[in-house]
Amino acid sequence: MLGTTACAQDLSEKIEGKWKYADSMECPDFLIFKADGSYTILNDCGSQDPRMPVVEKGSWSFDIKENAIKLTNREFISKNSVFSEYHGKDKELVFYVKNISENNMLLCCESNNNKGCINENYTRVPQSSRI
Amino acid sequence: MKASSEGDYLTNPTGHGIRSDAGGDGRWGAPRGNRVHKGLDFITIDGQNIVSPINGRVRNFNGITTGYPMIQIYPLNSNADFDYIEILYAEAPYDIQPWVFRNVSAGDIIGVSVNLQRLGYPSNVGPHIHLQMWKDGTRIDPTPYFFGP
Repeated sequence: MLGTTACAQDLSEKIEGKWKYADSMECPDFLIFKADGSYTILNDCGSQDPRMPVVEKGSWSFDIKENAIKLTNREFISKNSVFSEYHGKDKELVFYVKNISENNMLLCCESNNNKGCINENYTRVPQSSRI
Repeated sequence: MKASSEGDYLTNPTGHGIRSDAGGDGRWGAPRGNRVHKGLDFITIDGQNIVSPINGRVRNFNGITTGYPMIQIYPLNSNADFDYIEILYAEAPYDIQPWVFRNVSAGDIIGVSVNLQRLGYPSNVGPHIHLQMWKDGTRIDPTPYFFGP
């Protein structure tokens, strides 16, 4: 629907890995998309146990037709979460992939405050990082 | 009064005002990309002491994902109408063990402000700490707690 690629293609392998929310420095979300179809979201802020800052986990898939990342079976580990502040706590969440390169990803997601589809920039975190 | 028995307002952790510099606006609700700023940025002088805004249980640590030096402060006052306070960009005083809770009074030293460029901020961002307050799973506006309605 909101995808911009002319020809549908499976972006799963490009999406796999660790991504950091890039538009602000305080309390950035870190999204980890694993090859086994699971995802994890970490954030230092709001965690009851900052030594294990997982705020959410669940399953992810790439929908070629919609050119979108679909998060399903969302499980909220932390009561407090920057991610759910903006994206709500529905069991499913869709991010339309507007652009993706080796190190940058532009996603568009319906926000929790009904302001329409909001763009979010993410940058890839090197595999060698500590998270 | 926003936090009963804590005094009229919470203690200003730096003794300075809220930043508004070329690098951004430190008030609650200021734009941050397509999100908004959900906290207050108190101006600091690099290396200055940061004091506790409340009587509370405090712990210092470095964030696992960002590496930022952080402080969490849980109110001792059971009637406080927020869950806890987080302060970013202040490292532990020299004699404090990270991660371990300790009790402090409002005004006690709980951290030392760090240079933000050391953390990767661009040079147009002035020295500050970021303070945010959590309640029932979301961040709330700290402004009235420190400066009144």
